[in-house]
Amino acid sequence: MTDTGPVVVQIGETFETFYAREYRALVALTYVLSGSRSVAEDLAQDAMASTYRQWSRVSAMDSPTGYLRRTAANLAASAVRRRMAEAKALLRLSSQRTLLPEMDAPDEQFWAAVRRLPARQGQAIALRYVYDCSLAEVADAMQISEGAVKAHLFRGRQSISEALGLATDPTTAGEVAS
Amino acid sequence: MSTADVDQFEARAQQAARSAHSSVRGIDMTGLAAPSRGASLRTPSRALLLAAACVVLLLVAGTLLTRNVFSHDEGVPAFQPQPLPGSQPFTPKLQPSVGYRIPAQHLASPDDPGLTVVKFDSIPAGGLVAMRVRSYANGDQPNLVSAVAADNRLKVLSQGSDHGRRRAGDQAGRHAGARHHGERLVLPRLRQPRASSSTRPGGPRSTCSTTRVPGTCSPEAPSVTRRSAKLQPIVDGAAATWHW
Repeated sequence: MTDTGPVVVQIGETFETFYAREYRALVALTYVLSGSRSVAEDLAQDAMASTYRQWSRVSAMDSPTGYLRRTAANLAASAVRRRMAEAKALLRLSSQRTLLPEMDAPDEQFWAAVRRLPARQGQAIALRYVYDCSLAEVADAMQISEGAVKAHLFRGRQSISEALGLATDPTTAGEVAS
Repeated sequence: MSTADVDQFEARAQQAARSAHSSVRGIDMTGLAAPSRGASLRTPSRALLLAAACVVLLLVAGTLLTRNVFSHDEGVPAFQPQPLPGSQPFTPKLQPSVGYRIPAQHLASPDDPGLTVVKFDSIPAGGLVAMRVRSYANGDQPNLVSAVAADNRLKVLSQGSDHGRRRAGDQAGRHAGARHHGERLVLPRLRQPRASSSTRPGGPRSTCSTTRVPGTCSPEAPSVTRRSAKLQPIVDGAAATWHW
């Protein structure tokens, strides 16, 4: 799918290296969860800044990427923070920065349906497909059990399929996180 | 994830994810402006808290020191203040009238600055009343003392200000020795009024008599009424009975 598979942070990795590797995928995550191209970068920056402030602790974690993704997903899920990021983005837009290119309509439609889901379901689906994460990685990022992730994915998948009129393979739906 | 049994949802989701990644491919990698790791964001707030704590400590210490050093009122002898049982209306004989009510349940401390102790013969249950002269409308202690002295039912025994303390010393201080023997507030008879001791600055010459127990100060000079004419009503006062 993408080049953003499971990442193992090397011991002693600098934040700069971490940032360079994670940033773009992080923007993709915040983009699909916030639905705003102008806000996505700010949310990703906020998540990066939060990680940086605690880098000495985060870098010693088993999965710094999980912390980063969780932070970004939570930021994107918070309506208040999204509004603040939007306000900041509006200020910034008066300058030169270019917006992210728009996605195709069906893809945009899919992520819009994800955003209409309950926050945890949307986060689970976004982490699962944007990062191509395994169940365990999603569970680590969301700090919940794999069973809970499975439930979120299953319900989210059902809701989106109904909304978009997609046919789902029951066996696949049941093993969505195999 | 298995690709063999990809259904429509899976295909759509994977395509949407690819599209999302494509859309961010060209973004800038600049823009993270975070403070250096050495400069913790919490440092300034901690310093501010520490400074604020120091200021508060200094203020508290200064207040305690000031209170201990400067507000020790030795002009008022120790007593056991007790709240009055209720508001005590008092109608003096002064013209114009000087009236006030002594608030109930209000204790005065002997350490209170500006405390004037007067005797109310008309209050049977009370005796002495400690009254804060500050509550006097004009804060005019000499006038108040004069006004009280003009009423033969009242007696000024002590007052908190230096000026008043000196005057109180003229009366009560003359029997300082008696103060330590339980009769400290009883004024001795002044057989002959002396200008240096019994004449109150700005007030009438008074003599104290022991014909009433405890004695009362009777004004002799008519200027009392002129002075009392300037008085404003006393509307309140921190007061406490002082059992004789």
